[in-house]
Amino acid sequence: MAITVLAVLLAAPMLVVITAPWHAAAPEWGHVARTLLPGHLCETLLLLFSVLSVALAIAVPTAWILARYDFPLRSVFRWALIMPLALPTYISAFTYAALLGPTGSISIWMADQWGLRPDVVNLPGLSVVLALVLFPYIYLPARAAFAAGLSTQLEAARLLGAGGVLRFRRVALPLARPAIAGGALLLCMETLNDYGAVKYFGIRTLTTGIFRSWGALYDLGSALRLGLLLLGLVALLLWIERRSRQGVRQDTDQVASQRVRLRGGRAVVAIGWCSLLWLLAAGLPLGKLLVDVISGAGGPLMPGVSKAMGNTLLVAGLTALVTMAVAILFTFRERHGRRSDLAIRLANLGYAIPGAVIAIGVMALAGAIDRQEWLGFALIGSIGVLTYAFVVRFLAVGSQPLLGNLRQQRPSLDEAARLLGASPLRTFIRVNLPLLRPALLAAATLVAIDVIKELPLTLILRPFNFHTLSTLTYEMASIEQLREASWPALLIVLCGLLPVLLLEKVLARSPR
Amino acid sequence: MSQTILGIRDLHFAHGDLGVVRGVDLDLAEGETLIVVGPSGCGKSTLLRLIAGLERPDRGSIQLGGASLNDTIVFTPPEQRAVGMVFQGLALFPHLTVADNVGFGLHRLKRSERTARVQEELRAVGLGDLGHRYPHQLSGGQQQRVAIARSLILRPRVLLMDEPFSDLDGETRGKVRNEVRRILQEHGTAAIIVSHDAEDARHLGGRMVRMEQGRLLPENDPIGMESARSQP
Repeated sequence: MAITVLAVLLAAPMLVVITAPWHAAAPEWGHVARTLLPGHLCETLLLLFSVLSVALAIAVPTAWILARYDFPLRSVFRWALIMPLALPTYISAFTYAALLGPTGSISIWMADQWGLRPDVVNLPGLSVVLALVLFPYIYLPARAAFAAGLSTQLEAARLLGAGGVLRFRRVALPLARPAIAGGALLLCMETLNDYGAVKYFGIRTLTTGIFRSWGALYDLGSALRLGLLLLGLVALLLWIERRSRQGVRQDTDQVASQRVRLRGGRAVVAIGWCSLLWLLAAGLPLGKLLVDVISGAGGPLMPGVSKAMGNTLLVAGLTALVTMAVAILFTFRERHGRRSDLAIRLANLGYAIPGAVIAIGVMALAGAIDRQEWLGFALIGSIGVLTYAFVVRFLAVGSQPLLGNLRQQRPSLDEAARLLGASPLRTFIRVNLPLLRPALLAAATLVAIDVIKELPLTLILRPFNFHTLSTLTYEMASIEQLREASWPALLIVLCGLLPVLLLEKVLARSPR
Repeated sequence: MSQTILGIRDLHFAHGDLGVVRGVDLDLAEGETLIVVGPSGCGKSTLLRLIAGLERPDRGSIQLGGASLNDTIVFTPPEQRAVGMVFQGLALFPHLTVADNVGFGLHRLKRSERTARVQEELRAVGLGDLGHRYPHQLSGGQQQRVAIARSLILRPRVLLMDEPFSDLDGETRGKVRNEVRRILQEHGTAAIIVSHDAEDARHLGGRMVRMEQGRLLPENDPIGMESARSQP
């Protein structure tokens, strides 16, 4: 019962957004719907489409090359090409703007040299920047699909006379479609979730619309309605992804395919392509941050940065602790209680929902409680509410590794414990939980790092005058102190590299 | 004649992937060893799981020492049944030492008392020096003995063993069978051992029954017993 109540509590912000039209007055909705909504919706869809197109064009051929061919430095690129995952989109966007924006250092140099001044601070530019950061979401599952299976199908196609391009287009691509679709869904969700990059590039999306309705028009009801629209878009994407899987069964061979050795010019092309991609996606932004920090352009480590670091560690640690405690309770319920629990499944949906939507849901909820005078203190603007919102958003990150790991534990272990007189709770504490320890630590780390990188939710719900590394980076960048933003940005990226290393360690055990 | 310790009447079960049990009647005397043989999927393991309380029967009753474990009203959960079980695959806790595995069920005792009981039980199965090791540091036969010691330490009224020799190679299998026979005789515990190999029954020297398609065949059924004996 208590676990169900907890699950309902965690699903509450979502329910608040879904039911907004029935309970939240929106005095400015007419104005928002007429003037703000069409442009924001249109640019959201345009951005989604263009980011997805560019990312697919980058990720799928790269995955194919690394899965099916062998060439010098291949093992280095395997790891290096997932490095962009460590970069929050807004940091990559700021560095690109600092390099290739209207006043960017490379733009100015090019103008001096050739009289040509490139400018990436626009929708096509942002699409490329976001695609460069987010393409690993597609590249990773596609590479796994191309590497682990399809050997026999591809050999059959080869014996039937199909050349390399035809085998890729007619056999490999359709069979890897479910994996690619799954990755594309994640990429779209990250694009919808983005606030820092789109705001800085001046693109109007539903997420920036939520900020505008709430921050400029002070109309929470309209913000909630935009959130509901965004939620609808997420649901539509989920539906499309599920539809795209229908009729395709991926029969992987579960053995690593033999890779073809590339030599001469072909090897050079493969190395050149992977190097260029790494340079644009990770090397350039990381290099820019490092140069700014090392050259002292970012200034010494300011007191503001160390304070933001302390705040970040506080909320990240607190969130990881609470999230893992909740995840452990849900895991116990999954193992020893009823298996299908709607409230728990709903509570785990938070990761699919943009941070800004969760933030306004929490804001509406906390606001309603704050209006009751008996409480004696305000929830909005407290670290408690910020932590609660983070738990809602990242619960799935904490609980899925535990659930996955738990499913690998043989039921006979529990049964043996029960027959030795242990209650379900004692069985969980003495048998299941100790075996979950590595997954528990990994999941807690992932949650903490997600919190460190998160921006839109933190911006809306943080206490007054409370900066985390992400909000400090964003704020400095938004007042054009891009060099000063390099310190907190670099610290975020260094934190983000940790799960990337973990991921590579896991992938190293899978078929190469 | 020994008293009946376990009595099963008209037991029925049919759910999911588990084998079906159809109208099983069974009596087990105190100290008796019963070997249930039969092909895969005939319901042998399901029968053990029903006796252990790991599954709820659709119909029928199970009585242990005269008390009902389940009928139309009662269902005693596994931890309160005083039934021990050695699982197929053993289900040793990989994160606990041998001593902690064997002492798992004694958590209500004082530490000193628990240590003494564990040591005694380990000595009884010939593993007195190996309490500090982890299961993966033992041979297959030693792991088997840990599982038996763990089940017997609570002095169960009945010990259930699900394919206890299936993972062992020929030589070890013979040794462990003799060990099991010795341990069961020393403890005087009634046991039901499920196996697909009729050789086990011959070596363990107990009563053998055959199970087919969820039913226990009559023990005087010469065809059933003969086919059981000729199992590979």
